[in-house]
Amino acid sequence: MNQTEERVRKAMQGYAQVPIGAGDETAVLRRARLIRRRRRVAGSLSVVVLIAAGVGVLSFAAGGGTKRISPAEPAVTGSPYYLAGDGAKLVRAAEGRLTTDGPTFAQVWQPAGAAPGATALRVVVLGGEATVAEPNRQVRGLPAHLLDSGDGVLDLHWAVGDSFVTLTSRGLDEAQLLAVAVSVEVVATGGPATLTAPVGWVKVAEGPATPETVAVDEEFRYDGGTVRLLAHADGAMELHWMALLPGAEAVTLEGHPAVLVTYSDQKELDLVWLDDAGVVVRLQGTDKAAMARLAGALKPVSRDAWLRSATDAGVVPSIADGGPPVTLRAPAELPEVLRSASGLPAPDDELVLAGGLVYDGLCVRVTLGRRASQLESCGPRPASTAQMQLVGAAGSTVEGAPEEASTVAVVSVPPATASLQVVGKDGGRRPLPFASVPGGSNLQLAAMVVLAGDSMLEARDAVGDVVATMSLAAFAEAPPGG
Amino acid sequence: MSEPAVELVEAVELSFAELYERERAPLVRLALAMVGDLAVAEELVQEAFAQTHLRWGRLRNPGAYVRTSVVNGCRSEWRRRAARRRAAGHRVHQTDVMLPADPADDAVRRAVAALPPRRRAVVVLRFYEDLSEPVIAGILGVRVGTVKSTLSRALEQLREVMEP
Repeated sequence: MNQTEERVRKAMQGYAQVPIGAGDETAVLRRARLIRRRRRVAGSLSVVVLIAAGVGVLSFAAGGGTKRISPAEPAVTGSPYYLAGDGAKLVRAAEGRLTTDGPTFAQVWQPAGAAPGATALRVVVLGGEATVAEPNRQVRGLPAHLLDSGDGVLDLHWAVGDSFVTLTSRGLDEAQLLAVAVSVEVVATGGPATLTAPVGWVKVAEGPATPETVAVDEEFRYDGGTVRLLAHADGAMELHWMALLPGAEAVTLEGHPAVLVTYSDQKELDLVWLDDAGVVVRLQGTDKAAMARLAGALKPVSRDAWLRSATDAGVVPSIADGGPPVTLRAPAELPEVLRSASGLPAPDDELVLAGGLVYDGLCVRVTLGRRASQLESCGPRPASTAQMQLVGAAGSTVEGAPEEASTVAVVSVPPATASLQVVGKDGGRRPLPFASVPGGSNLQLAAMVVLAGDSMLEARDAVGDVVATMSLAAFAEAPPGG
Repeated sequence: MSEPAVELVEAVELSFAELYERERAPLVRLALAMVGDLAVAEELVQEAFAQTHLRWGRLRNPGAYVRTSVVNGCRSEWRRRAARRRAAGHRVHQTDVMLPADPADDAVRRAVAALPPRRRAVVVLRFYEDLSEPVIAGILGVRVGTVKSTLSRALEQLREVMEP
């Protein structure tokens, strides 16, 4: 070995003496689960999640607020995208970088298509402490008061044209992070201002809305209407929706964290919220259309009036046609009627998913804890059906569910059903608990966890004859494994 | 990423936890030697272990897989940094780490860090990991001859810096 090699070897071996702190295996496993979940969700039903109605704290299904961005994704021209996420599970884009020294977040994205030197980005950081390490003359409109404190907790890098932006925050604890809202937008361009990735987060936190501090003001336009989302400096959010409720000029989420904004790979918008009128509304949209659904209410509300309002606003209503006007009842007035296949008692531990499954006029609310789950009806019931139907499914978003679980599904079953069985991958059958909805209806619902390999759901009458079957092939994806 | 053909660690039956416990620190140091930033190194190693966990049970040699994942992650990191430097006109900040204080060694490490990505990878794998050229070729997905020529050019470049 010559002298150069010896010197290089000696120098490089210095790295072997660097002290390395203990690792966190659980963080690795969480990351693996997140990756797996994203892979599952990508090809499955788009169900987003929602709210604990009337409760001040929102927990949402993991992954609901995050999105992995591929540079190969079709570019979205024009408006910035906002992602919501919880502070503990940080958003990471394909070009992003997260460090591991505590709650941090960072993202790199790339504006493309604009002439070099002609694009300026505006970065707005709300709450927490923020310091711009390198003030950039090309960033315009950056509120100075947001940048005057801290000791290096935030680094900003940015550029123009075909370059990139990096945002890194360190040292914020989770509570601070939840109070941080970040938005980035193109404020000047010399050509098409195309953002190839989401450019920020909206963190929802409690606090009264103060109009003077509105920092995120973005409209989401769809064929069916427009939603205007305002995020305030204190974390409060407002959602102005074209399909307004009767007598309301805006749906205001005043200090209520029950809103979740999620984009799927199909650029879908899925918002579920409890408005200040006590109505649970779900708005779903793609780049082609928007749909609003009345998912429930904490007090009676006229379905016809709501439907008329939605129609007038150009939003495609999704309420079952025909029949007399339906008055929704408060979820709290409806008894808990069903339990999931686990047969466990109602959730008494950490809430991991509270999801609304809406099928025409029917609202079914699913609440899943780490060890238990429950299902309850929270809206009008459709007419009885002679066949089993899929009412809804929450795809692969259940923390703590069996590893091989792929989908939580809700089905309606024929009135004569006395028992349900799931045919597994080995041909074996396992019973599925279910219960009827009280109140005179003969509709029955069942909630189930579909496992990989499950092939069929069978409904049997009191004497054991099969009265209906439903294929579970759509859910029978192979266990994930990367 | 396909599983590397070259086995880098002893193919013994390990649980994921055992593999993590055994390999994490060495891999963080390897990544640190490649990217020069401890936080980034830890992040890359965590990501590599997460990817390994996803494939657990289907890997013939998980240790080799995670190591290759780390190396590939480092190479991706270099590409990102290159893009940042081109755009921002400055070098990416590198976190200080507790390296033995030796000015001569520091100069060598800086010189290694300034090498083009492939040369740097070869140098790190050869002189830090002490891997043979065929093994390095397996990790980087190139031929042994390419490793030899790359290493030769890297050493020549380092020699010019160290012995002006």
